[in-house]
Formats: sequence, C-alpha cells, structure tokens
Amino acid sequence: MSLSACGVSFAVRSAQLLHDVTLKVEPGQLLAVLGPNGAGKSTLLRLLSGEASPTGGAVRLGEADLHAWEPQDRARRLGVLPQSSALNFPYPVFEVVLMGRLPHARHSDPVRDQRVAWECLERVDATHLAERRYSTLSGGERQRIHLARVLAQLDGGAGAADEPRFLLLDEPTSALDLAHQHLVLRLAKELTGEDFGVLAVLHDINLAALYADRIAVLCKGRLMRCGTPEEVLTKHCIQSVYGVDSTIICHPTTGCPFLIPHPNVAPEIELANPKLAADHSE
Amino acid sequence: MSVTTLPRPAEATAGTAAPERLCAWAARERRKRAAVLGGLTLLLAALAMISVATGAVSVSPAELGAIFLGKLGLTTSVEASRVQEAVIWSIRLPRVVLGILAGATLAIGGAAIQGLFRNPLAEPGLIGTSSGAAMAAVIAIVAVTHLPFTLPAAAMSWIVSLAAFAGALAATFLVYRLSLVGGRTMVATMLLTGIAVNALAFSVVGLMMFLADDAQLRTIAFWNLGSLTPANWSSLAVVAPLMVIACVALPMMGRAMDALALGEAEAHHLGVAVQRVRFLTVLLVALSVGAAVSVTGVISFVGLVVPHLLRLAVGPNHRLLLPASALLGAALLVGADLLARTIAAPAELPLGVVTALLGAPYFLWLLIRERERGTLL
Repeated sequence: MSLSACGVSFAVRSAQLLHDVTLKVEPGQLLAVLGPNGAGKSTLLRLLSGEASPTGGAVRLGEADLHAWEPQDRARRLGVLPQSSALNFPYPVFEVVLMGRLPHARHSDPVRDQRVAWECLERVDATHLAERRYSTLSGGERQRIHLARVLAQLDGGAGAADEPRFLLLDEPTSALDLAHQHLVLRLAKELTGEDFGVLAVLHDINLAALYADRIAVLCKGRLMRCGTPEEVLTKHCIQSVYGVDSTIICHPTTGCPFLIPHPNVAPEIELANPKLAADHSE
Repeated sequence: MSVTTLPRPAEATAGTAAPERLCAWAARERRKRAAVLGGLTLLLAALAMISVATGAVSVSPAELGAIFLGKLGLTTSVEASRVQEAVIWSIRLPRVVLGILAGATLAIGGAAIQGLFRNPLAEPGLIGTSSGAAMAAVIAIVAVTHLPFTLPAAAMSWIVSLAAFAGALAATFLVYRLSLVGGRTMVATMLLTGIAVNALAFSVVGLMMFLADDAQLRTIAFWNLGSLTPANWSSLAVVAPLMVIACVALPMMGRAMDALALGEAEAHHLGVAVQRVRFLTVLLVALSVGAAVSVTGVISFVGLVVPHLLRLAVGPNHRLLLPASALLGAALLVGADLLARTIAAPAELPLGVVTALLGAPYFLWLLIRERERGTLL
C-alpha cells in the first residue's frame, strides 16, 4: 500500500497551481519535498491529504481513490501535521493530544486512548506539558503537541500497528529550535522503520539531505526532480530552481550532500510568479 | 526511545510516574464531569420546584406533592384545592417546562455555534436566527390587523409564532447558503453575512414599529423582550419535541466540535465529515432556537453568556460543555423568570430585561477578573 499522486493537476480559476505531478509516498521511506515559495508544495499536501480534490489526475491511498475512503478509515491511516493551527479555546494539552484518537472512537476504549496519547507525548519529549493549557505554550511547543496528536491519530505509540500508515508534515521544523528540529526529523525517520510512509515539506535543504531517503523538488507547480539526495541536490539543480549559486560538499560525518550557498544572488533571479503566490496563499 | 539522548526538562517525569499521572488525570476528569452535571441538575431541580410553588396562589410543598400524586391516581392525607391544582397544572408547570426547554435550547445552541465557528463571541443571534424570528414576528403582528376580517386572539398568537419560526429558519439558511463558497463554509463570510442580515432584520423591525399603532407597539415590545407567559400545554406539545431533539443530538457531536476547534482542515484530517457536522449543527440550532423564540420572544443574552461562563469554569471540552450549557441555561431562565414575576408582583418584568440585568454585570465582572488573571479565552 502506498499514497500516490497520479498525474495530478490543480487549478484555481485561471491559475494552474500544479501541473501533472506524479509522486509516490512509500511505507518505510521519508520523502522530503523542497521548492521555492509558491512552488505548489502546500497545494500538493492539500491534495495528498484529501482536503482538496485534484482538477486532473487522481490521488490514491492503496488501490482506492483517496476520496472513496470512509473518512474515519482514511484518518487512521493518513495523518497531517499542519504548519500552524488556530486553536482558540484553552484546551489542556493532554486533551489536544486525545483529539487525535477521534477516528478510533469505534475501535478503542478511553483507557487505551489515554495510554497511546501519553506515549505519543513521550515521543515528542513533551510529557511535562501535559496539564498545561494549550494557549500558554510557545510556537515550538504547540508544534510538538500537534505532532503528538497526529501520532496518536495514527496509533504511533510504542506498540506497532500491522498496516502501513502515512504522515504528511507541512514544514514541521519551521518553529523549532535546533535540538527539536532534529528531534522531529529523527522521529520521522524512526517512524519509517515502523511501516510509516512520511512526506515532509521542508525549506531547509541540508536538513532534508540529512534525513530524507528521497527528495522531490517542485518549481512553478511542476515536479522538477525526484530521487536520492545525491541525485537531486546538485549545483545545477539549486541554480535552476532557486537561482542561487552554491557549492555542494560532503557532510563530514554522514557523507550526504551539504549545500553551501554563495553570498551573491544572481541578478537574473526570477522570483515566483506573484499571481501564483497570491492565489496559492488563500 | 531516541528522545532520551536529548536533555530533558527538569519537570519531565521518569517512565514509571507516567501511568500514575495519567490515572490521576482521568479520575479528576471523571469527578469533574460528575460534579458539574450533578450539581447543575440539582440546581435546576431546586429552582424548578421553587418556581412551581411560588406565585399569587400559595401552595405548600405538601400540597404540591399531593397534586402530583393525585395526577398519578394516588390520594394523600393532604388535600389541595381545585384552584391550586388548576394554577399549578395549567399555568405554572407549563411555564417552568417552557423555561427549562427554552433556556437549555438557547444555551446549548450558543455553545454549539461558538464551537462551530471557533469564536467565543458567536451565538444564534449572530447567524440571523433571533433577528429573523423577530422580523417575521413583528411583520405578522402589524400585518394581521390589516386583514379584511378579525381573527380570534388565539389564532393571532399562533400566526405570530409560526411567522417567527419561519423567519428564524429562513434567515439562518440564507446566512448559511450565502457563506458556502465552492462547498466550503467561510467562517468570516458567514459572520459578516449574519451581521448584514441582522442589520436588515432590525431595520424592518424599526419600520414596522413606525407603522404600528399603540396596541401593536405594546405587543412588539413585549415580544422583543421575551416572556414565558404564553406557555401552555398545547403550544408546548408543538415546540417541545424540536427543543428536546436538539438538546439530545447536539451533545453527541461534542467530539467532532472539539476537532473543529483545531480548524476545518484539521478536523477533516481527523476523519470528521466537516460539512455534514456543520449543516446538522446549524439545522438543529435553527429548528430548536426558532421553536423556542417563536413562543417566548427574543431572549438574547443566555446563548452568549452561559457557554462562556462554563468554558471559564469547566474548560472548553464540548463533551462536557454542551450538556452543562443546557442545564445551566435552563436553570438561569427558570431563575430569571421566578425573579421577573415575583420582584414587582403582581406586575411582571420582561424576562429579557431580567436576564440582561443579571447577566451583563456578572459577565463584566467575570471578564475583568479573568483579564487580571490573564486567563481570558
């Protein structure tokens, strides 16, 4: 079973946000999606999560079209960590994590739900926040709480489940300090060992190179490259996608590619189409 | 586990402490739920009993018991007079029952709409339900006298109620439809549409008041301030089922509403059929609040304050908030009605005036206190 976008396109009014993108999230793999602002990364995520329907092509979870799944069955296999969440009410943190157990309402009991939620809090290093009010947390703490919530949704506690599950992360490290950036990506990597397929939209190319099994690069709504970090992260690719000159070296301990951007941005850099970016941010 | 290599905050507990903390948390939640729901039920029962026993015709607790047992075919040593029995059975009891149902409906409707819009300022009034009812009722009050024939008073009150109910439904669904953009509900659009519909409705109310004669003005004023006086068993038989259905069905959507608090997209990711929950909630609130308002007139403060007050006291979890709102709303309305008809007896204050006079200063005090504590919202 895998989560796949098969030739998907997405258009809003006259703006074509994605053109014919084919991408597969396989269990056991961490796939990083890179690309400049307005490249269509978040749109791709919205299509893969079933939040929006593609205007062309199809998104499949296993053999079936994603939209043919019963919502709760889908939610037990496919979880999404949003970039930020507008939670206005002062829920205690532990209740926020417990919300992740909603799709298990018919398959679980409160004691099990609480145990799983607790284990997931442990996995994101946040048990000390359990009784705090969500509204009093910092941005990075909130991000980790939501990660725990999505893990609880996918039964990602200590016990292993017997079927593949898919986790979509939308810039999971944007609000985190260095230690927690690595905690989250190491956790994502660890989950791939538990039959998870993980897709992470990232901005930090070096973080992607360190943890991802495969990297997909989007630009102007098209999939430019998809492959291992070594295949994808080349001087030429970075130049053509971001318009930034760089040197690629070998990471001193892992040997994976490491990008060092050059200080002077080329003057002919073509910024993302402003119309595309405006429609995209809706 | 990999996280153990990270420096952990000092207050993080060792592995063995976790289950104990978890058990304590779960036990505390269970106790809180039982205490809140039990306490509010007792409060409501006490207020209902006092309300039934209080009034121009005095009835002792023993006589009250005799009347209820008598209805069940049991005789007791205490005899209640026929007048007492008639007053209790056909005036006070339907009035208290209407108070309970209308209060519960308004408060649970407020809690549901606030949850749906993730906005503690929302209430059924904000999506057009109350103003639509008021507009239609006022039009009916003025238009009925322009008919070529005279209607009996009973028929007139039925027409006004029906118009109010239809107005509540029509205004709510107008707001709901206009805020549907490509199959998704835009919360900001919905609130703005609600404000526009409210403005339109109130301008029509103003226009009708301009056209109305003195007697109609009194009826309009009475209707706009709310009252439980119109309560009787035959009107209750019509509106009670709608209100009971809402009070039973809305708490069942508590978990979905908790998920909606995270955001529409997040609720979708959690497997909530967002559009269905939204449509059902708006439908249930429009039907039940429309039914309540069609009999009592506009009582606007309950739906806003009760859920807010409870959220500060018991937290935002909708599985507790929704039933607790229903109970506290019922208690508040029964208590306010008791005050309204005793404080200036034999005259009767308008109910909406009492709820606002009591509720608004308390609400302000609560807001000031919460602001000082920094726990607002």
